[in-house]
Amino acid sequence: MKKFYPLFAVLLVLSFGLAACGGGGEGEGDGTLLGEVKARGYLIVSTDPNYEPISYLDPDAERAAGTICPEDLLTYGEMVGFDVDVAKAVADELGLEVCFATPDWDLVTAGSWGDRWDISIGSMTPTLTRAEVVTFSTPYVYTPAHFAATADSGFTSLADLEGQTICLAAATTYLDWMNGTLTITEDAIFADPPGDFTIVELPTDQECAQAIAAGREEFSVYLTSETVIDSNIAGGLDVVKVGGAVFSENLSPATDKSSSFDIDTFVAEISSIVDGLHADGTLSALSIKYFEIDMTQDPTK
Amino acid sequence: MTIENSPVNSFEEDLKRILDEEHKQQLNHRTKLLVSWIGLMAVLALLFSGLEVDLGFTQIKFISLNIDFIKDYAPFIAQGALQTILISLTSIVLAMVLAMLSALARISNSAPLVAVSTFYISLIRGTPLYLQVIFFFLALPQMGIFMSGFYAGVTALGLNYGAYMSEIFRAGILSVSKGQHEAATALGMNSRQKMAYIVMPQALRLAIPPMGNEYIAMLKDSSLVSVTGFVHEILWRAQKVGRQKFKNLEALIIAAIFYWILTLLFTALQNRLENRLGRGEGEIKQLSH
Repeated sequence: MKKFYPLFAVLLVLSFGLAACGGGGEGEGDGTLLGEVKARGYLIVSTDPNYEPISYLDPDAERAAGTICPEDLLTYGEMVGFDVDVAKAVADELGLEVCFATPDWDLVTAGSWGDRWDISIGSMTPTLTRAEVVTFSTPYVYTPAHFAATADSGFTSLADLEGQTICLAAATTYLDWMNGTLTITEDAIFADPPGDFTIVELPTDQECAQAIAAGREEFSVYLTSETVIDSNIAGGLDVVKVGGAVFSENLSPATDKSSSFDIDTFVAEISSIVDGLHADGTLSALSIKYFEIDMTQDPTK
Repeated sequence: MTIENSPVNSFEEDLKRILDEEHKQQLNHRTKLLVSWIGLMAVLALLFSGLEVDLGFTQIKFISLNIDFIKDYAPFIAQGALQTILISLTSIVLAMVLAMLSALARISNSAPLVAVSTFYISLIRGTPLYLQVIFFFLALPQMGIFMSGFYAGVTALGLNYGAYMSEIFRAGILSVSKGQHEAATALGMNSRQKMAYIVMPQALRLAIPPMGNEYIAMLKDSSLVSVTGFVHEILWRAQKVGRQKFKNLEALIIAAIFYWILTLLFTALQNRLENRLGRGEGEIKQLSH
């Protein structure tokens, strides 16, 4: 029996090797990310389909006809929403098909994407901390961060929230703002957090709203984007907005710094495309289509 | 058949009566079992009926679900079943290979092989599966090993379950009695033949039924792979539409039902497999009667 152990060892190594097959991150361009995506023919965008109307799944949609997106990516149409349309517009300008990857939010903000997707167009606010791992292009929309509270809580102003338990999503700018560690330009921060609060962190903002809807009583306040609150209210949740906007989220496309490709030309190209989409009114039209107001103007300018 | 018209029963008649009685009891037991199951199922359904019952002194409210959402989104979530089955099947095959190899290494006389096996089992059993999935998905690309979300998940699940199942194989191999080894040697078999024709067939009969159990556990653990976002299996679909439509509870219950159905199907398969593998045992018992 003994002489067969080397054989087993070889089999062991082989089974690892076999498992490693599949997917291909090999470059075929000129070593730049821009060259790579153009050679590949499609742009892989990460966006989180947890939020209607910003980015969500259409359960009845078929895969886009004639798509060249790999099997494990979603196509335009299967994914719908504001961020999805922005991504489509960006890819159109690049002359590429848009494909969507849907990793969990905290994997996206953590960087080290391992070349699995090219860009995040998923409502990410540029902060200095995030800028250590990703590079941001020009913001495409400016959404206000806002508190919401249950209607029967009676809260109307920021001062009312002192001593309250506040629910928010993990790895978000809302958490940073509460903790005083939000590193965005100072004029984009409009208010200071209420004193003496307790934080409940859930995987996404939607869990906060659903916990309230389900009758949980650990908290009656949550902090998220105004667009999410609007869609929660439209979805039948009995909450009201509290106070005014607390800071502005200048949502921007982001690219992984640890990419094995040179990302500089790619990031610059995305910025100039977003500038173009601002200038020709495409972004304004999309904002009005999904949010009924134009949120594409920088509120600090 | 009564005592009056046959005062002395023949042996065959006695035996027939006893067997009939046994058969009747078995049928009776099965009917009761079925009725009880249906009763429990009804209680579960009542729990989610959304009914409000006024008992006079107190009111009981049951959990109410949005049936329209369930109708609309059940097909979308069900489409993930194929991914769930596929990822579990691929992983269990990898896990069986790894478990077998590490069990053989573990019982070998070679210290390095025993070390590799025990190190592997210790490392994998000592860290969370969630972390392992993320590791294969996000850490390996840095070494130039690029696995798709599916294969990263399969590798993590396969390695994880391989470590746990290794002990099952080891127990199976060790359960083959010394006499069998000696008999094989007496027949002039070399160690390879002994392993292939004598030890493994008997070890596998013991090891396969628990494998079914592991597979059923894996069906549900495969949901962890949804964290990568590249494998659109049952739980991934349920979580995404649940959040977007604001109906997490309904979406997760749909997912739970599909996982349960899959589990029932594979439990039935496992029972058949077990009966098949146990067939030889049964025949031996009958012969000895």
